[in-house]
Amino acid sequence: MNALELKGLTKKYKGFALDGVDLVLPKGCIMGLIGENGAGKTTIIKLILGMIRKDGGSVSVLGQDIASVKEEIGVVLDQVGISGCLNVKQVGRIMGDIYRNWDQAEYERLTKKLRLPENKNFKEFSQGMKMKLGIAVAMSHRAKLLILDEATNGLDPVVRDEVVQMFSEFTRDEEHSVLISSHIVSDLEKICDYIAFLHGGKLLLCEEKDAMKEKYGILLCTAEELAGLPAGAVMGKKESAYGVEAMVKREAVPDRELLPVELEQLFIYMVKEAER
Amino acid sequence: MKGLIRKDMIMLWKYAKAILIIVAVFTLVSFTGNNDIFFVSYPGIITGMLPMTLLTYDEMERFCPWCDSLPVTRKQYVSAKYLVGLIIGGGTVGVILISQILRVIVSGGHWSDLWSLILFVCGMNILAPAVMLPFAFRFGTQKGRLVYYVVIGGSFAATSITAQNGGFSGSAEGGMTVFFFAAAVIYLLSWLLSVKFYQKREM
Repeated sequence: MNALELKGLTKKYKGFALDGVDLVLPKGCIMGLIGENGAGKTTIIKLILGMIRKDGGSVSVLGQDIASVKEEIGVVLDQVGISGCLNVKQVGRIMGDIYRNWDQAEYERLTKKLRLPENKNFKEFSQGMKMKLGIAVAMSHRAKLLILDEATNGLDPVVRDEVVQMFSEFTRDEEHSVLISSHIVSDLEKICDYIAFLHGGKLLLCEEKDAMKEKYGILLCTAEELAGLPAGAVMGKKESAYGVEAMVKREAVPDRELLPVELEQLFIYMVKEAER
Repeated sequence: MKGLIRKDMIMLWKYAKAILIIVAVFTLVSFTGNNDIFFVSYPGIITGMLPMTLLTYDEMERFCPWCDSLPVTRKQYVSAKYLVGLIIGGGTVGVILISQILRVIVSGGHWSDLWSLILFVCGMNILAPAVMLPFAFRFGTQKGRLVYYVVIGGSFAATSITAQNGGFSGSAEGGMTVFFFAAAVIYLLSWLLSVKFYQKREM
């Protein structure tokens, strides 16, 4: 059973459409959803959570409909929706009434680890502290799947690293999985097993991260050399007065030396190619 | 749902303390001899608006989308607001009832008038959120605010008309009983409508 399965997921808005997205997140893995602002990341997450109605396709979470597995998922949205007048202690008490599997000891451990003040009201928290409290809540009820929409936004680099490690540790249990959306590609590069590129509501690519890096490389060449490559070998290119930098499939140019490709580069190339 | 009610109660305590003071002051004024219907009914009308205030805070603080990710159904979310309305309303009417019983004992008066008065306050207390909440759940609290002002104005107009027509003399008891039960039925229908609207809403 997969943690998450999306088949032909479609949602149409005026001026934007999520176009038949297929995604599979196997159990025990972390998938990074990468896309620029407005690419459709939040729309996908809202569709998974049933916040908006889909126009087509299907969503399966932990093998079931979302409504039956909400106890088993932890969610952090880009804006944490905790009421401003509540403090950490009160949030713990409220969540204890909401989740059957609420683990107060774990919540207290996490809020201490993330250095959250117990008696300060949420509205007095910095953006980073708000995110940290959202993360602590999402990880304190023995969830099997974390769904995180831009959850590392607003965190300073040190805390971001700490939080990203927490997500990574979470998936040590093979029953645990994470779907995380972000436009900070470096965060996702550190922890993700799978990467999905989204652009203009379309899924450009969804593959294992390591396979992706092995599959593509950067070729430095001339425009003439580039023109001589087999059709379909070039995934994107940047031309300048000094030559061409192209992202190519390694198998299509076995005799050429290629530079390793970073996720961010790969994403930018693919977006530019899609826009051509 | 217990968690949602706990949250709303904490929010009320922190955000709406001023309203509790208003209820106390008006109750005191109505008890100490000024037998003006306005002073008796105002606390009931104003606390009837509190579920709408809570919903406004939830929307402003982005609680509604987040709540959708918690193991809470939309029906439970709506029901919590209506239940909180009844809890606050019950508390307010209880305070008014005690103060008015004391007033009748100390200053004299008719028990049947008191009964009519309490039915009127109860009816006004549940009628206001019953009219406002479906609009707020359907269109959001920003657009529902217009209805909010109409309801507040209407409530005070109703109070004023009732006062001008002799207030709560014994003969009003039958009418007030009908008014109260009509308001209760409207509250129930309003809850059903709000659930339906909120279940269809996109976050």
